[in-house]
Amino acid sequence: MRKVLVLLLTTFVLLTAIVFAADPIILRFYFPVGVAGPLARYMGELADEFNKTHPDIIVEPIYSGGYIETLQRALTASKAGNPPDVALLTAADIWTAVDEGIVISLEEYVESEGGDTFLEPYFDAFLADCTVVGELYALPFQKSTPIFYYNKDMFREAGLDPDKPPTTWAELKDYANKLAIKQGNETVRWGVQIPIDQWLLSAFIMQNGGLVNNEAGTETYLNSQEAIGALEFMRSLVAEGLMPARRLFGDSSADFVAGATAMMYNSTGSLAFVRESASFEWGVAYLPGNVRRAVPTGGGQFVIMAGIPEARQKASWEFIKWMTAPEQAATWSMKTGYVAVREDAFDVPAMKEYVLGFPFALVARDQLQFVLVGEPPATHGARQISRFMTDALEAAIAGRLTPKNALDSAQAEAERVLRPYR
Amino acid sequence: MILVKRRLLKTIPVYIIVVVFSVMILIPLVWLSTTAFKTKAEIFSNPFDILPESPTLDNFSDAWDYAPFGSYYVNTIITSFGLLAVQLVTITMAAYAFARLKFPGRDFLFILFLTQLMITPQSTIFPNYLTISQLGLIDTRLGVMLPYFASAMGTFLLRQAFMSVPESLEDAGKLDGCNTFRLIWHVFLPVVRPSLIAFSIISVTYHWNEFLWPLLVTETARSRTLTVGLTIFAQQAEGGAEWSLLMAATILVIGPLLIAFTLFQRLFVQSFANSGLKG
Amino acid sequence: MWGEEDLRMTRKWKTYLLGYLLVLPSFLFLIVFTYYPVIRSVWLSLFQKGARGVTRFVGLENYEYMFGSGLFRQVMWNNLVYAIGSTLPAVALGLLFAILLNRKLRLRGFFRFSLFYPTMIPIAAASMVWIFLFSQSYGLLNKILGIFGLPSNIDWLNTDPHAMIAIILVSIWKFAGYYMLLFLAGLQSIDESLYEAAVIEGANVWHKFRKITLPLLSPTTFFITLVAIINSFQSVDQIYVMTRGGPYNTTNVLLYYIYQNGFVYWDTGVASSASVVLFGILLVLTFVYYFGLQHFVHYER
Repeated sequence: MRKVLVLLLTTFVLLTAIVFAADPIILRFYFPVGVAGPLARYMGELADEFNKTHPDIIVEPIYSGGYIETLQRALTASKAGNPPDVALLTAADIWTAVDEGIVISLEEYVESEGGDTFLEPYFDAFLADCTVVGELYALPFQKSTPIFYYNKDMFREAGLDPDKPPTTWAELKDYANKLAIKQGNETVRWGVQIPIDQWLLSAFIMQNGGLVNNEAGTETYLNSQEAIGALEFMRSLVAEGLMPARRLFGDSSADFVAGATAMMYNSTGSLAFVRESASFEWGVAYLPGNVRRAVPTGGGQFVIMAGIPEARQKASWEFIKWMTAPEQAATWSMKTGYVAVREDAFDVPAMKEYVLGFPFALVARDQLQFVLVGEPPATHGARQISRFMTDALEAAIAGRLTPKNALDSAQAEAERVLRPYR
Repeated sequence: MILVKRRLLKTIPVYIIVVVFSVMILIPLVWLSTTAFKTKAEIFSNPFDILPESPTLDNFSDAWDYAPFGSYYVNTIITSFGLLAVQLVTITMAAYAFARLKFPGRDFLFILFLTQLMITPQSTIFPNYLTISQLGLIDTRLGVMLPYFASAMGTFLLRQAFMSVPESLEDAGKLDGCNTFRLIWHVFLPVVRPSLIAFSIISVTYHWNEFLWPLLVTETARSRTLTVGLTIFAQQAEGGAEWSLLMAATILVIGPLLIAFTLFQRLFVQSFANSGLKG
Repeated sequence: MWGEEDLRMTRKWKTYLLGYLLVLPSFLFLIVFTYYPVIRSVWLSLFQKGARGVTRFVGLENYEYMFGSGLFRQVMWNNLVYAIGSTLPAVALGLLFAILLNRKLRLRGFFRFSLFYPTMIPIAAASMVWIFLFSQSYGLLNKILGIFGLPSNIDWLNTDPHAMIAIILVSIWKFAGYYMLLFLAGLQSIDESLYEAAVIEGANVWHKFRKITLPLLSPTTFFITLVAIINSFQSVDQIYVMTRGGPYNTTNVLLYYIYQNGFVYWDTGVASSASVVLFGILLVLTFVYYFGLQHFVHYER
């Protein structure tokens, strides 16, 4: 009888030990898909590799829609007391996440890894998007900048040098005039296309010498002289029939490869799409400048959610550290067209080879020298303020409001949002 | 001779009109089918060519890799047919009661039922989402199906059918000693089989193709259905959509229903035609 | 002890019980997913979410804000345009197709397939094809317009009012075939002898249509029109895929507005208020249908 009891007890203890010891931490990771391509599958592949090399942690990537949906799902899940562990958010959404208290600061983890030496290889431009009021909340992962695409065949036809894309606004307009084809009053081939998005309005504002917001994230300068001038220029492109009144990123890419426009502003993330779909010779370049060259950054970075037990926080740190290590950064960049987030990723042999075969991939990285500040608007309530800016852009471009009125209105709305934070 | 000519003259314009409209309505399907076989470059360089220059099957295999279509198929089959199974039970019970039993408040209850024809689950998506969320059923197949377990339309159709079953049949069954359930199973259901089939076809078609509700309620491939999985392809923020893959994927999604429709056209047509409720 | 009366009573009660039990499951689901949502929407519409997730009771403020906002007025106007613009042509076409197909044509199966297959396809999927067809530079629609010498450089999905026209076209494409079927069923229930009698009295095609078909079809037509109008308040899949309510909210309709406020802005108060408005409209349509039905029932007599 005693023997049986002992046996049972031992088995029980053993089983419990096995169950609890072998219990890996399962991390739920919300990610959006921002560019075309089987990103969801690639993400799954990366996660599998991580899981294999880290037997105590299992990462479950959960595709959560676009960037906005991802933030929404993360928010609602957190409020419902059931947050994921890791999420991929845009810079604007990190401000919201911090204000709502749903993500943790990463300063301590960075300190434990060596502080500045740990952060050194990451591009400063990208780290700027990870900080909110000076504190680090994220690690960069899939970063982009807008770049300038142009149809070399069309350049030749119009008598332009295909190796000399425009470098200033004046040249841009001049080239657009030469490249657009009109029939009477209608344009049947556009000179240039700029997607209607606050991202590009910010670019133009900064190129015109202005800034979108202050460092503390509590003020915006949406109706400064520089901003009005920038919007005025964009509007003039439409008014002169060189640019359509409304295109989104996907539409522009499609128009470009279909030969409906000679030049376009688009994300570096569209490189793969253009490469596969264009049947003509094309090139990429930096965005033209005016008073100065300037570009905004874009894309997503990793955050660790608040409200999860410390063991999971630690596991999440391991995950995002690994995902942004040189090998993985290089892999992700090659597969998606996003810019690798650190210098040493470009030393990875596979990356070196890739860049040799496809030098366009370097343009966005080299353009980082013109990044002035973190992705605008880097303020509280950034999502809403982005919306105001895009609305102003749409209204002015379509001629429904003058640039001054549109931006005055946007600035007024932004002030209403920012007042509680001053 | 003259009579034949006159009849021909009468029918020719008919044919012309019908052909014109048929072609117009077929265009999206034709375009979709040819684009699915075109290479990426061809879509934009030759958008108007009907036949692809260098047809390829790559789009289909790539599309299958893009997203877990296998899971989507399983989820869709479960949510459509599983839901149908439950609906058949609920509507049979309710329809029988409304058609063949007398109990106080019966007609009033029936009118209450009919309100679901107007206030459909489509219009109540927001509160229903909150309910499903509170039940912890977000991102589950059950969550997708739950609001539809009761079907006013099905109850209505079946009630009409039950009402047309002759009393004599029912009496015969009762004489044979059937209790209610055996009565329904052996006597009534066989008679109203056409209505059951009609409802089944309508329900499965509707739920296979449903978009907005499953979009909101599902989050991952655990419960996502085909139509939703297909459409989120096209939601690209920073780049261009993969049109050729999208078209191939669309064919994968709409294929089953279209094939079923072609094979059983008569049946489908009759089902939908009789979904008209005329009081 | 138990008399005849008692036995009959017990049987009666048993039948009552059975009736209620059979209806119960369906009714339960109806309560939870049809009635409760309406009540809950009314309740939630009286609250507003403030900063940091604090909800407070605001009475009718949400409605004040909503009815006073230009956006909501535009949304309601858009829905009206969408309702009329999609219903009339779709129902008319449905009737036309039904009349055309209601005879022994060769290739009848092929025609029925072509006209009806849109019902078999998810409208969300079809919308993606339509995005391409509506494209300004490489879309089939502009190309065809060009062949006929009509303006062919239209930026369909990016300009007002073309975007709404595009949405309406897709709706007509999707539903005309379905209405055709409903009409066919109605047509087939009209007694052939009526037509024969008319021919004998010298009626031509137009007379037959006006004096026999149309009147006898009016209950069906009425019903189908109502179905179509209700559809226009519930069918937003193509708006979600093709225009997202744009450009500049010119294709934003009530159900899409509810979706935006409920699932993008998470503004429960406004989403619920808008839902209440939607329910109101649907209830009004219900009454219209029932009263219309009474009228037609008498008419038929």
